[in-house]
Amino acid sequence: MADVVRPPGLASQVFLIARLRWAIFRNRLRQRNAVLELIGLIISGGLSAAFILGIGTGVAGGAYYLAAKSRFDLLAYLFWGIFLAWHLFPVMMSSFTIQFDFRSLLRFPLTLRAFYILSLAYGLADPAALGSLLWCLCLLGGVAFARPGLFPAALLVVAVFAAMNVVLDRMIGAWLERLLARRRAREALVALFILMMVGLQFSGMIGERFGPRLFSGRFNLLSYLRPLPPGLAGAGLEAAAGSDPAMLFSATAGVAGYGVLFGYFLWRRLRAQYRGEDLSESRAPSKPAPAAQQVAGEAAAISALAAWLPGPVAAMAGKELHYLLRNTITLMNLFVPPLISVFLAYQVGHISRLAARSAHTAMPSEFLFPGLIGYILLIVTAPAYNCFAYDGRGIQTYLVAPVRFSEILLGKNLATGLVLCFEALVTGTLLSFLIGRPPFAMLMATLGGVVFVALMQLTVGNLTSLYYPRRLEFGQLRNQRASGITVLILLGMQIGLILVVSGVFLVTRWLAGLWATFGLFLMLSVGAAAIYRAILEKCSAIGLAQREVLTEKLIR
Amino acid sequence: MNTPAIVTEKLSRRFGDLVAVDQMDLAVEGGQFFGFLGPNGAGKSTTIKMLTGLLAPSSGRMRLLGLDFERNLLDVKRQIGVVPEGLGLLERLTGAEFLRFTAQMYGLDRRTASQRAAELLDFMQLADRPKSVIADYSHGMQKKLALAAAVIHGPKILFLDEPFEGVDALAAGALKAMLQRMTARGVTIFLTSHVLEIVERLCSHVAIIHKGRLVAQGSLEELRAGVAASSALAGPHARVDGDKLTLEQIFVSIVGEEGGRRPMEELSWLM
Repeated sequence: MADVVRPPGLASQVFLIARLRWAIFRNRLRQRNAVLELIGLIISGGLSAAFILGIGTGVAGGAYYLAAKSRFDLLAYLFWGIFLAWHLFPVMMSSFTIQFDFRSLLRFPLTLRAFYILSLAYGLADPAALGSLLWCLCLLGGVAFARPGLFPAALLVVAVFAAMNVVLDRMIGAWLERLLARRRAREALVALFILMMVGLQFSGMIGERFGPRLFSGRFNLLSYLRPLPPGLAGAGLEAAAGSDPAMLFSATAGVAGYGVLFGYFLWRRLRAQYRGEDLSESRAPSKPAPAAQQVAGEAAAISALAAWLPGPVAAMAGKELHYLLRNTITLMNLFVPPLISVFLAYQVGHISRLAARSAHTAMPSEFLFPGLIGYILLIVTAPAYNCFAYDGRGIQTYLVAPVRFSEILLGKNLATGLVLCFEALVTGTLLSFLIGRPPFAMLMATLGGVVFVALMQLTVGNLTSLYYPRRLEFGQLRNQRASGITVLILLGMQIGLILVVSGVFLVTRWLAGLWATFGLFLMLSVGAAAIYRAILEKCSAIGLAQREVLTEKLIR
Repeated sequence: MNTPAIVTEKLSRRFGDLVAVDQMDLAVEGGQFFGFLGPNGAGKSTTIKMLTGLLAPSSGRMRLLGLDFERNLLDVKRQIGVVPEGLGLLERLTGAEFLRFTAQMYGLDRRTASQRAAELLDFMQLADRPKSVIADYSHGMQKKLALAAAVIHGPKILFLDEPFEGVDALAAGALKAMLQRMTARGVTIFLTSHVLEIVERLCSHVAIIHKGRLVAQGSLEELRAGVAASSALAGPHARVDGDKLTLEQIFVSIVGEEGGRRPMEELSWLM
């Protein structure tokens, strides 16, 4: 029998969890041997803290103002803001949060009750939850400063509201974990999130057109949302201000009821985990398929595209295209840039119209086409700066195979080039409809610029991919960013290339015409091609010298 | 006389102050089923990584199939197959796509690559999930696929790091038979495993590495004779199984006493 005299109390276990989170965070900092990475973390942490404090000040000010003006009917908006931020913020804070599989605690002798409480405590220690709690306190402070007599009632309402949110936050997290255990569900959610973000870009356009009709009755919205927790919390405070204790307690009981309901669903989820639920994706083998089907099932279109290339280069380009079609993030890169270009075309057109209306000089719309194509180009070539990111352990296959890194990178670059051609074609066609077809000379000048920029981007991208690789995961948003140095180099290159290309366009356009622009870009492209080729040849030796860095950064 | 498949001369690898592999002189003849053993952290994986091009040596030389490794890197790589420690799989390809990709990387034409991929998938019993990507495979299935990828180009030397770990008994039996047929045809197999029974059953020759140094090398009979002749036989691990020492006994007698293990008595609270 184990000689444990006395099992640790719940408080000790909660303390242990808090210490664990701190240790994970501290060790994560220790692993970052690059100073730039640490600086990036400090900057993002500082910005996040400033953001949280800024919003908190706004919440406190808003609560004070509404309470002072006796507009308690609008306090529900503040509760709604906190509520939405509490449950959406974890996604926004994804790159700063700590990774830990909470279920691994089940190896220890915990009761289900202890596991449940520890889960709540663990959720409470999340930066997003702490920020939201701070905003709750700000709301309470604002109301209490304006109307000190309301402090006890406000404290009750805010405390119940906060407790309900802690439970809901953990419930969402636990059920999401169940849902996202399947890769396809995970990738679908990421796609949905990206589409949502893209959709937000168009909200201004939609608002401008349909806004007056859409938002004319926005203050009636509250009455529809009143039965939900933030609405009830607002109603509770409104009742307290109106000296209606029955309504105050029934509204607060309503919020607590939601908490109990969410707590029950959380309990069900944690109970399943406690009983040893298996979230594995592996399935039992299905009925055997004949071997011939394997050959016939080859993605013929992708293979045909790569058929004319030499063996390893073709294999690599084909693999990249397979990966492109199976990675939600990169696949979205195919569709998002043209959509954004439409949005930008609309915005720039709108600004030009406004400028024309106010008798200012309109923006030269002839530069809209190359500008937007250039924008697409920068988006599409950015992943080339960390081109081994999704290969993970597959890097070992490249290292043990009889191929040079120049061949590997050429295959990857060709795939990027193919995507770029597709993007430019789609965007160019869309823009031709939206803003009119550009003059032929402008089209050629743009193409010249695209070739020059693409070659420069791929040249530098090949080097950063070898020197500063960073593993990224398919279908995930958390911690999905290239290394700090890569991001800095990418930013520097983008700024530099924008300056060079703009300079070439402006100078040659006004001094000698667009064909001169094309000619100059052609010369620059020849130079860039020579540099690209020279660097590509050197990449074989660099790749060998960097093999330990590549395996260390991509496999772990 | 045949060219040795693998020869290392004073092969060393340092990580800062740590000497992971120290002046190793190793010789493996062609067609041998060679077991490479050692306790955890002894330097096995580091050695395999150097022999397969995943890691550069700090000093020393390696010759594979008579070719200097550093000078003939691509020629050597064309003739070896590897199941690396992390399996080296591209997890978002299907099994068939990965095998075809690997075959093409080794220079096989597309038709041959497709044909061999289909045959290997069938042999490894992986053909029933043609549309599943490797990320959805179980660990054992991934292991079988990595092995299939290592042999698809018909290598002359095969490096296997714990090849049977996580593989079911039926598949393991088929794999062992396949590997034995390969050695019968002259392929050299360089195997590491912590399951000494497997090594004893499959391997004709064994080397033992401990704390980065090669402490024993030879056929099983030579190792038995060496251990029996040494004074280590007088130790507590020197029990004889019939007339022969098992590989486990040989292993323990060579590295066990140096392992710095605490006597069991010190863990009295556990028993």
